[in-house]
Amino acid sequence: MIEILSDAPLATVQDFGRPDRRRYGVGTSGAMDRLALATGNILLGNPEDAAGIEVPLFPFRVRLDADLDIAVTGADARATLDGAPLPPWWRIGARAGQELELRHPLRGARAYLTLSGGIDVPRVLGARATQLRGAIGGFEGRALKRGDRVPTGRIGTAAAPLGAVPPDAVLTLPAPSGAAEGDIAVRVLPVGEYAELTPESRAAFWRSGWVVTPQSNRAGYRLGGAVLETVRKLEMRSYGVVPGLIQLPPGGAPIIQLSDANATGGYPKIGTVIEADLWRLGQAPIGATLRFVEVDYQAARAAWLAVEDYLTKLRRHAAWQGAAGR
Amino acid sequence: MSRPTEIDEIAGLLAAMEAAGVAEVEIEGPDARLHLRLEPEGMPAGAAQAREPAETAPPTLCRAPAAGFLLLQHPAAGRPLLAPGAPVAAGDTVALIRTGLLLRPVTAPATGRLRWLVESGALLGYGTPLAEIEPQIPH
Repeated sequence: MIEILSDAPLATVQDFGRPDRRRYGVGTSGAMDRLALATGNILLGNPEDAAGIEVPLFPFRVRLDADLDIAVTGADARATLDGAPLPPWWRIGARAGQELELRHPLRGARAYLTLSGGIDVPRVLGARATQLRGAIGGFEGRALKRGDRVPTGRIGTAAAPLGAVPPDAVLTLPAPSGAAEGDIAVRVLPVGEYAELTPESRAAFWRSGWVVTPQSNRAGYRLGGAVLETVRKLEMRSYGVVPGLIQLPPGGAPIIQLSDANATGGYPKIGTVIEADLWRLGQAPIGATLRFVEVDYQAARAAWLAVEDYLTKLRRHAAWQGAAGR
Repeated sequence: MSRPTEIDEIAGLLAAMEAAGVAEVEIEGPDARLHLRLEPEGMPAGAAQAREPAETAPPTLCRAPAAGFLLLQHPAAGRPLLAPGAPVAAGDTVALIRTGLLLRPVTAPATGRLRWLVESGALLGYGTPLAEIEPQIPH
């Protein structure tokens, strides 16, 4: 059991969500940065998709009711355990009564707290992920709040401190031309009605910096930058939506659908951020500038294999360590 | 496979050998043979013959907790773990050892002023002395 000590607006229990329930109109939900969640779980010897806590706002404080191995991954939230600083992407054996604090990150947007055995809330529609809109899953279908006591799967601690080389140190992307320091590049496949954009808009789509506006959340990011236009007015039928889909609502400012998106949508769709780069979006804070880099299917596939390779290596290296450290 | 990856894999094998208490491993493939042998106590021969201690208390050696590469700053943090020249307290994390994709802390075994014996990025064996800590004389 862990107890939430801070007001924790929008901190939610998340796993890999419900991708298989879209056919029933249920959105996927799940962690915005699955790579960070998976990495924490691998460090702890959990299944990669065990539920953890996604923390988008800081400070965030919890107290452990029992000895527990914990890991903090994702945004570098300058975590401290009873005041002692922890390196980012770190696992440590914590003691009953100790307090973990996460502070406003210097880089990234969302930190993940994972614990040995995972967060043990009931599965709803196959997953423990919180879906705020439908008020299902997670901890009572809602964001966590001060005083909540959240059940964990396994107690007892044996872990020596251990860190992971973070994904962005391994899965590097060259900065696209025109990008400023700190811009976040994501790779995009042109899809659907992309060809209906005017030539100027197509050029602007790739050339513009796209700011993540304050009208952004787990459902999607509303972007600011150029205004895009189609050559003619498009009438669309509803279609299935996947996280990463870039749509063009009537105002001409694109939106990117994300973890808590509806299962269907009807705006023209002009691109999709490749699955291998969704974690980069999850770590893009409000005000960050995104850059779209055009790729084809083969490049998107190769990028996904690189993500899988990172996780495979991490699992293997953690297994070597397993003999020594756990 | 790229060379850095192979080095990582070998460092990982060494870590597994240490963990399992295996002293020697030989692997043969179609075009390569790998022979790994751990020195007793993980100590490279001769490494312990430090200089003659002066009349002051001898420096304490800080050793690599695992085989791997020495990092003086975390790959995500962009700031050194230890401010240059700052005194360290026993138990402080002063550096990291990277083995494959894993990082282990190097903790100071004593309190005092730390002097590096190896360069940042050096590939170290388990138990290799990497720094010495001079106890500080109170004034």
